[in-house]
Formats: sequence, C-alpha cells, structure tokens
Amino acid sequence: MNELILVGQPNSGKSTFFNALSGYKALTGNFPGATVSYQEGELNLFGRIYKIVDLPGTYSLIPQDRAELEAKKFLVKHKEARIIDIVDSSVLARSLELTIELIELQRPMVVALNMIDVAKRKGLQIDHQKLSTLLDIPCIPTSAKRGKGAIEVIRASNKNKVPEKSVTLKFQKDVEEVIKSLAKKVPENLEKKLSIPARTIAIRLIEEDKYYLDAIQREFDFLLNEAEKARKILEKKHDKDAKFVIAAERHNLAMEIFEQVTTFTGVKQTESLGEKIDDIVLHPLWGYIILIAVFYGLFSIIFNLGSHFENIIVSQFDSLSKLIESRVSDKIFSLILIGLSQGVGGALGIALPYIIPFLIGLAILEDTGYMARIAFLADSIMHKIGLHGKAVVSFVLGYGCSIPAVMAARNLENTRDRIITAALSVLIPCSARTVIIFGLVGFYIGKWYAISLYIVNVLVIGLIGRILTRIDKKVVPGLVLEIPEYHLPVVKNVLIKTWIRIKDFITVVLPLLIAGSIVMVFLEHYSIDSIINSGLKPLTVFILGLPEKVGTTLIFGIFKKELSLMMLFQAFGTDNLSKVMTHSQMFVYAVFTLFYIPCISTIPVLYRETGKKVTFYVITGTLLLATTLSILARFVGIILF
Amino acid sequence: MKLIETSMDQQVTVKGFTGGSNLVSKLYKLGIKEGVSVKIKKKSNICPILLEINGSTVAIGRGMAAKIIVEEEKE
Ligand SMILES: Nc1nc2c(ncn2[C@@H]2O[C@H](COP(=O)(O)OP(=O)(O)O)[C@@H](O)[C@H]2O)c(=O)[nH]1
Repeated sequence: MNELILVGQPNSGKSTFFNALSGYKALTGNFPGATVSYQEGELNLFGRIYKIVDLPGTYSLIPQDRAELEAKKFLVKHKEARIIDIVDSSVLARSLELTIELIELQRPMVVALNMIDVAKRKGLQIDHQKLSTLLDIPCIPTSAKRGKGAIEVIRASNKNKVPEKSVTLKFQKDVEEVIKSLAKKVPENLEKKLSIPARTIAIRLIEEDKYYLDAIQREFDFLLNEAEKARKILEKKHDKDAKFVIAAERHNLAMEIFEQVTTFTGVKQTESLGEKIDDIVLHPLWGYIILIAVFYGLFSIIFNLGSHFENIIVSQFDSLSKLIESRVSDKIFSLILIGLSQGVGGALGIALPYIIPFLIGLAILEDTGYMARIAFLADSIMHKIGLHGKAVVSFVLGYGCSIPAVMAARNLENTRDRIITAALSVLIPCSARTVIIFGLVGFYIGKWYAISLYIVNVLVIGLIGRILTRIDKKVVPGLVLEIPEYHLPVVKNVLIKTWIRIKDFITVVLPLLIAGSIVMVFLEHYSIDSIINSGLKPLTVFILGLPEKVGTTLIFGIFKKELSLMMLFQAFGTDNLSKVMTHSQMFVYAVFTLFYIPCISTIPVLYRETGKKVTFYVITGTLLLATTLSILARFVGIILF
Repeated sequence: MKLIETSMDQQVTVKGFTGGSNLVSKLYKLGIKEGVSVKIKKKSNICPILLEINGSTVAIGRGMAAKIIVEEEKE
C-alpha cells in the first residue's frame, strides 16, 4: 500500500488538507502515541489505496520536546512512505526552511503550496514550476480550505520523486566542507540502518539532533568525537553555536529560493481587515473586554443548552433503569444492567449536552485564529503564576471539563509547564462541579456566595501555581507564538475535529464510568454505605463538621462530580436540603467537593499525560488542599452565617 | 537596544540574543534570527510584543523581548 505522511508547520492548513480528502476516505482513526496523537486515514483514489498519516505540526525537524521527537521518529522510521510537505505559501520564506530539512532526508516527496489564495491576496506571485525545478520535486499550488489541489498533490506523489538534485543540498563552501569530511566518517551500515544519507546524518550530528545522537549511541560512539570536532571548527570560524551556523545556511537558502520564485504584484499597503480587527481584539483594554464577552457568551450557551438536554437524556436512562428493575428477575444480572445503563446514560448525559458544544466552540476558536489571540492576551496574567500565555487554553477548557483541559497541556513546550498546567487545570470547577456550586450554594445560600467561590478558586489556583513554579525554578522561556491570520471556520473541519476529540473522550472515559456505575449500584444495594459513612466519619464529622451521611456522596463524587449533589438528596431522603444541613455545612461541603480528587475519568487521562508520580501527587495534594480549605471555610462559615 | 525598548511601527534588525540556546532555537524556528528585519506591529505596557516578520505575525513575551538585541533601521 502507498503510505503518505503529511508534514507541515503549525497553521499551514495541514488538518484542513487532511479533511479535504475525507470524501475519499474509507476510515479515519486517531492513534495515540506516548505523547502525540496522529490522525490516520485510508484513501481510495481512482482505484488505488493510500494510507495517509497526519503528523502534528512542527516548525523544524530538530526535535525540541518529546512530542516533536515522537513525530520525528515516526517520519524517519517509515522509510517507504512518501512525504507531503504542506507549506503556507503566504509565509513561503519561513516555510521553506522545513522543506529544506525534509529534502535532506532524500525520500519521495511533494510540496503542496497551500493557502495560495492568501498569498495572492497579499500580492505574492509564486512561480511553482521554477520552484519545482529548483527543489527537484513536484510543487503544487493548493487551497485546502476550498478543496482545491489536494487530489493533484496525491496524484503527483505517485511519481515517487526523490529530490536528488535539489539546489538546497549544498551549503556555503566552508560549511559544506566541514560537513563532507564528517560525512565521510559515517559508516555505511549506519547509513543503511537509518536509511538516511551520510551528509544528512553529519548535519544532524552537528546540530545535536537528539534523535541521531540516540541512534549512534554505543555502536558508533567515535562519531560523537568527530561531530564535536566539526562543531568546534564551525564555531571558531563563525563565532556562534554550530547549530545556528547550519540554521543560518538553511535560512539563506530559503531566502534565495524565495527571491527567485516570487514576484510582488503591486498591492495596496493599507491595513488589511485582519489588522483592523486586531487593533481592537488585541487592544490592552478592549481586547480583555471582548475576551470576557466571548467566554461569557460561550459558556452561557453551553450551560443553557447543556442542562436542557442533560435532563432529557438522563431521564430516558432513568426510566430504562426502572424498566430493567421491574422486568429482570435475576438480582445480580439486573444490578449489572442498571449499572450499565446508568454509566452509559451518565457518559452521554455529560458528553452530548456539554462536551460536544464545548468542543465545537473550541474548534471554532482554534480555526478562526482567536485561540492564539487569547494566549496573547493572557500572557501577562499567566506570568504572574509563573507560566506563560499558552497555558491559558487548558484553564479555559477546564471550566468545561477537566479531560480536554489536561490533554491541551500538551501544547506547552517544556515538561515543567506541561505538568504544572495539567495539575492546576483539574482544580478548575468543571461543568459538573458548577452544578454543585449553583445547585447547593447558589440555590440555598445565594448567588453571590456561589460567585465568590469562583473567585476564591482562581486565587487559590494562582497561589498554588506560584508555589509550584517556585519549587521547580526553571526560567520560563516565555511566549513565542505565531498569531495566524483570521479565517472563517469551515463547518466540515470543525465537525471532524470535534468528532475526533469526542471519540477520544468516549474511549477513555466510557469503560470507567460503566465500571464505576456498576460498583455504585452494588454498594447501594448491599447497603455498604453505612460502613463507608462510619469509615469516613473522622473526616466528615470531626474535621469538617458535616453530617455523617455525606460520606458516601463524596465517594460517589469521585466517580462523577455532579453525582455528589444528587446522592446528597438520596442519602438524606429529602428534596429540601436546607432541612438537613445548615448553610455553613453546605458551604463547607461545596468547598470540599470543589477541590478534592479529580474525577475517575480524569485520572487516567492525567496518568497518560503526566505519568504515575504526578498523578499520585495530584490525588493526594488535592485531598489535602480540599481538607485545609474546608476547615478554613468552616471558620468563615461561623462568622458569615 | 533591546526589543522591549522599541516603540510601535519601528522597523528594526535583529542583532543577537542574550538568552541561552534553548531560547534562541525557539526564536529561530519562527524566523527570528540575526540580520532579519522585523516590524513592531503592536506594543503596549502589558501585552506581549507583536512583530511582523517575513509576512507572518509573531507574538513575543515581554521576558523574551528583553533578551533580543535589535538595531533601528535607517530609512
Ligand atoms: N484561505 C485559506 N485558508 C486556509 C487554507 N487552508 C487552511 N486554511 C485555514 O487556515 C486555518 C488553519 O488551518 P489548519 O488546517 O487548522 O492548520 P494546521 O495547524 O496546519 O492543521 C483554518 O482556519 C483553515 O480554515 C487555504 O488554502 N486557504
């Protein structure tokens, strides 16, 4: 089968290109690697079957974090695959640098000059035939958003053209000589093993590319010394890091080619519409007001829509449970069925009404280019916590659901930021915890008490963030972020993105929710609740001053946060909680449930993203935090109520 | 001068960096290198700095902007 790998810089329109082919796609999957997930599809085009893989966007092939290393490994290991390089033509000069790196791999390749329409609008004319000659591979103008050119690109890949004669394969004389003499020392069996030309191996060793350094370990250790020598020569001559000497070479080549193949047609140097919008959207005052308005709008739509559908869905499954109870005579079997139906109902009850609109909103924010602007606006606030702008995406997501929030932390470049962001984002009240805050505190005590809980929550997160970033005192490298042009979102793209994410959610979460629900049904049936209640008494009654009966509800809450409120009614057998709990107790209870242990569906995701140790710390840490804050709340309650 | 000390609409050339190679690599990837000409598109007292570079727009955090040495271009 023909395998195609899509490679491109972020925002080059890679996923749009991938989706533009979906009409021909037989199947799409999302296969998660250790740190990145690829999209994969199968394509049936004029009787030929292709396997197509969409690697995560990257600015360069020299890996800087784990995700990039994974993507790189994938690319290098799939020797037979053809590379499709998606290039953003409107920023051709910069994009060509990745193209040059790809050409160095000497694999069959095609360049898709995407966003050709945007380039034209900017007054940039690209001679793709000339580019094709210079690079020695087919270069095809595309406009993925309008579905133009994608098929031609796939067709051109059938030529299996390896860019052997590309002009980019030769650097400036003195640099090239150093590379050549190092390349001569690269043993043939290493070339074979990696299936990469010696010259390229030499370049990458000089650049200290982790992938190649790992690959030569033990067997070819002598090369390390040779590379070090080569580096010294370059550094002495150019007075900067060897890897930057190489980067400068590629940069110069890219600029040269860019100048040869492009012409500027007279274009009005007036402010474009996008820039006019940015004048307001990125304004230090209006920008924040718009930001708040956007979130307010987004969340009020989600919650109003969500609660409406949740009631419908959950009540359907409730009646299903009742039906099972009355029809199935075998007790154990009936309990399992009820647990199953409650688990599925619970998952659908949150997923469909809240998470789908939320993910659609998110995909729109990303596709329009507003997400990058949010990171821009939030940068200074995030710095107060010790993180930077990109972390805000996780925090925003956290108000919907902790799961996508934890997953979004992937976007951060360094491990420390990634872990701290993921850990903090589980403290944000997700939609399920919002149900508790408003259903208990908002409803029985007052709206402003509920809102103040949100404010306290933000302050606590800020404080903990500060502490965590102080403990691991790495310098924050800070924000470097491309702000893409505005684009109108494409419905198909948004829906496909949402679908892929929701599938991820369902496969991770559904099995756990079902298992959890079955356990719960059994607990209830065999009245194990009283044992749990007395077991938890030291915490609930003595430390927190709550009624003993809340014990089980807290356990249920780990399965599904909003369950604790529902179970509270059930545990007391009342529909008016103010008869059985004082305001002060409700307040303490809400504070505790707001901060304690992430729900059972979040834990595996946290584990997958951050590892065992961090997950353990988060679980124990949140428990401690919740207890401490609840004790404080108890004292505050004495004063307030 | 440092990038953080520029003002809006100024056209400057990147001269060098005072940060480590981690920082430099990050900047290189987005095309911010020695000798490249950038335009300051937006600058305020709180937000990151917005640059135009080779037709793309890049935001640079204030901390980073203090580590980038630039020189104003003469007309
Ligand atoms: N005008 C135009 N917009 C495009 C084109 N290709 C993609 N886009 C838009 O560019 C934005 C980023 O595309 P996306 O596929 O998400 O980029 P990725 O980060 O490379 O996957 C989206 O809003 C797309 O609709 C194109 O050829 N022309």
